[in-house]
Amino acid sequence: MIRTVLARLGLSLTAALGAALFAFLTLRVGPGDPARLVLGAFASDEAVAALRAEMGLDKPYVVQFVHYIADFVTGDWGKSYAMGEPVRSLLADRFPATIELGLCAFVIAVAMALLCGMVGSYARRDWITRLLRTLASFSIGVPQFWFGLILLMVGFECLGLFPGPVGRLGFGVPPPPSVTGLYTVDALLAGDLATFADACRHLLLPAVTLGLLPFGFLLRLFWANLDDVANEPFVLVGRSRGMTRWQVFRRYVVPNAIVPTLTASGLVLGQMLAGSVLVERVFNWPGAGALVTQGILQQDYSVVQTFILLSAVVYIVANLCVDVLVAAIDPRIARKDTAG
Amino acid sequence: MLNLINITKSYPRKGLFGRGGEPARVVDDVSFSLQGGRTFGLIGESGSGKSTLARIALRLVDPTSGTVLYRGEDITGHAPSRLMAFRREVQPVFQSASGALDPRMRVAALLEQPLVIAGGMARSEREDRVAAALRAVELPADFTTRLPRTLSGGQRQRIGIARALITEPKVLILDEPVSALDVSVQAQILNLLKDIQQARGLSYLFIGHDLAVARFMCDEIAVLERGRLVERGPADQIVGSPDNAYTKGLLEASRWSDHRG
Amino acid sequence: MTGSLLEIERLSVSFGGLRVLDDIDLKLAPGDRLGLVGESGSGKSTLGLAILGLLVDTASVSGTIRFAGAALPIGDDRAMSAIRGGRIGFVYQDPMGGFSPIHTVGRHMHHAIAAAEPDISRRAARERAAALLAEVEIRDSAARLDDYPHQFSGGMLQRIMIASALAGNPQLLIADEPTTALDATTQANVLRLLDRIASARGMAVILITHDLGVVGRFCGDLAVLYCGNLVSLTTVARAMANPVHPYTRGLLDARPRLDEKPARLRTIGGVLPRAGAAGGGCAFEPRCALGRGVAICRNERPLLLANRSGDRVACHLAGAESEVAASC
Repeated sequence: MIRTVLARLGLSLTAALGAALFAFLTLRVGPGDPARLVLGAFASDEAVAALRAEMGLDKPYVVQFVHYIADFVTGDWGKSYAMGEPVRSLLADRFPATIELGLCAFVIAVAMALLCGMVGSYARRDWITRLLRTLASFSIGVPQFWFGLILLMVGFECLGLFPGPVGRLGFGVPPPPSVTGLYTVDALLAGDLATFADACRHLLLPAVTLGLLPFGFLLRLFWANLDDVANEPFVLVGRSRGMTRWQVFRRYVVPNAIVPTLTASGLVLGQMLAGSVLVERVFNWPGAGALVTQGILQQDYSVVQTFILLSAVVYIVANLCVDVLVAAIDPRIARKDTAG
Repeated sequence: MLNLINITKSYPRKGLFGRGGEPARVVDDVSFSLQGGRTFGLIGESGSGKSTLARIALRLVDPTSGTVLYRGEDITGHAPSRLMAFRREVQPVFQSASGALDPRMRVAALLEQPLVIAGGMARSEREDRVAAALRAVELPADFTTRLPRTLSGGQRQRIGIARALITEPKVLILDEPVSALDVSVQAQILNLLKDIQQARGLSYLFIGHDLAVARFMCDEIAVLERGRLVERGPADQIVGSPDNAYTKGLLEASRWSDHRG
Repeated sequence: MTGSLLEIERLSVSFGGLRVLDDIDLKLAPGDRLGLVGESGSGKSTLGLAILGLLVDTASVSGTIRFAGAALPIGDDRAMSAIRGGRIGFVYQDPMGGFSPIHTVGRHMHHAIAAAEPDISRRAARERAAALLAEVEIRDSAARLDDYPHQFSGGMLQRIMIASALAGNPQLLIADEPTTALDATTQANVLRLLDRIASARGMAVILITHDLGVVGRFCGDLAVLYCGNLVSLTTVARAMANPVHPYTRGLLDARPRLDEKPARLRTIGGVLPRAGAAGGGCAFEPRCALGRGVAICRNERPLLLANRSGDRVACHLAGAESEVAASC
């Protein structure tokens, strides 16, 4: 088990380095000179050259890359030249906001997909199956920003149940003392239920918007897995032992169908945590998505590079958790480990 | 026709960090030869290495050591380009014909596929060959337009045989060709294989687990136990009065379920 | 005969309008061993599942099945669950597929035991499970409860499958091709074990198979299915010595034998027709060595009638054939 995890970890780190390298090269191969961008078109060539030296841009790519990785690991994330602020403080608020939204969207998507998949596969009534199938297709087909706007229109303007697009908390509500940076968690840690409720109300609509597509994807996948497993002979054998349809479904069908679904949801989680510009725009969510998009356009190296590595780390941790979970459920995976 | 000499096949047991153990020997120093127009039977239970040997004889799998001779020529190290003639003349028939048949292709396309791949044959000639192959496996000529899923298990296996015959081979490697079939269909296929052998003078390598079937089909039988040949000899002798303890056990098990009241 | 354990009357099963079993009548006394033989598509597995009441989801079932004196509630899934767990056991053909790969053997056993006896304590269930595994000759049975299915060989798994089928002490065991997926030597061992257990428990067995040889070793009676019709119901001994129905004879003759080497095997010509394709006559007529082209066979469905020796055979020409057989 530990070896499986270590092997996976090694593989993921390699992948993260690969991603970092790709981002690094893409930023540098693209046209334009960041030093020139910072100083403007009328700056002297000497000033630009001096800034290039300060930014380390005059060194060979290999050296630059090694510095980039080493600085990241030591926590020295550099300065955003476009905004003149340290990257660390730029991301300090925005990255947790993205994570909180992504995690919440993920939990909603997975929980709903599991629930709807189970109902769809187990139910014998035609209208239920048809309804859920339509829901799955809708979730996959609908444009994200449009759905977000509709949610705002209904939830905020018509019903007044949810706050408008004002970010993570209502006006006048101070953020809870920062521990994790996730307002919901921090509010709970501080025992401040009012702030927790407010944070949840602000989180729900954007999370549903962001989780809609992965929900549809996971629902279809899980449903298909359930239907496949239901045709396995061990289901028939279980029934012949006197178990009811529900018992066999709960004991054998669901656990066996969850394993491949979990693996897929790990991938989805990574995607969720990378932030979404569209959803952040619609709900005025102060996440990292907008910051990074801007950073890419302005060739703001340190912001983009740091964000990519941060996302990679989160992605690795998320997938590692999924791997451990899958190995814990499926003995065949843990066993491959000891067979060597 | 086909000689396998001192064939050994082992797979390294790989640990995650390359910490390999003793390699697993699937086939251990096996030699036998296939005579023209005769049937050689390889009999064993699951895990005996018989299917690995079939794949080595077909040159689909490389042996770890040992030599494969075809008509006296050492073809063990031949590159795919030099195996063209060999591939034409030595054809496989597998247990599950349905797995080997592309479900979207019609019978005619399935049958002429090996000819198309080999190239250099006119369309009309290919059609003649397809018709002849269908005749050889006693299927009606209008089967050319059928899809595999509309065929019964026996018919699919006939198509599998027809496909092997289409290149006019000299040797057929029959890997459990009737194991998945019902008794009545099994008898038809076995008879058919015998008829084809007589008509065309083919050599068969027959791989199976059923001694009664092997006795009917084979001139000579070799018994495999965990990758080793434990006994070989004329079929009548192996089934009639085996020497080896493992063969006796197999035979006893077959007799046990061959009871006729 | 101490009265019947199982009485099937006029059982028909169709899948989407396609009749897979047609008017089956069958009786089984306690402790009987019946071999249910047919080729793939004959409906033999369907018959097994129909007795277990596992077809209601997918098929329409008509007729009555009486078990130990009372009609089985085949339409009522909950009521059937109690009977499946306790009184009728089932062994499936593919031992590898018959177990959920992510649950230990002990979990499977526990589920089976708890289904038959819902109030049993965890510890008592575990002891029962170990005892059942010991009964099917799994060594070190208590420790192996914590192993997963992939840690066992096919033969061992099939033994465990039998053990879990015994969880509710069934009076009837339906074994669907229990040894087909196994090697010859393992097959013989598993059948010997089944033989011993059935005798010790006085349990009736329906052995579903395509292999007449297996039936010869194991069963007292032989039922032959062809295209969803029961064509012959005889003792195994008589069927093997002198098969009255031409289809049974054809099946027997088609087997290669260990003790002789004919130039050709005898075959049954033609192919098994699709289920429900039979017209008004005998379903076997187009392939029958005796009745092919005979007017009565083509036009009239033969009934399953008792003959002089007490066998029941559905064949217009069966009498004629046994005379032919006797004269040569």
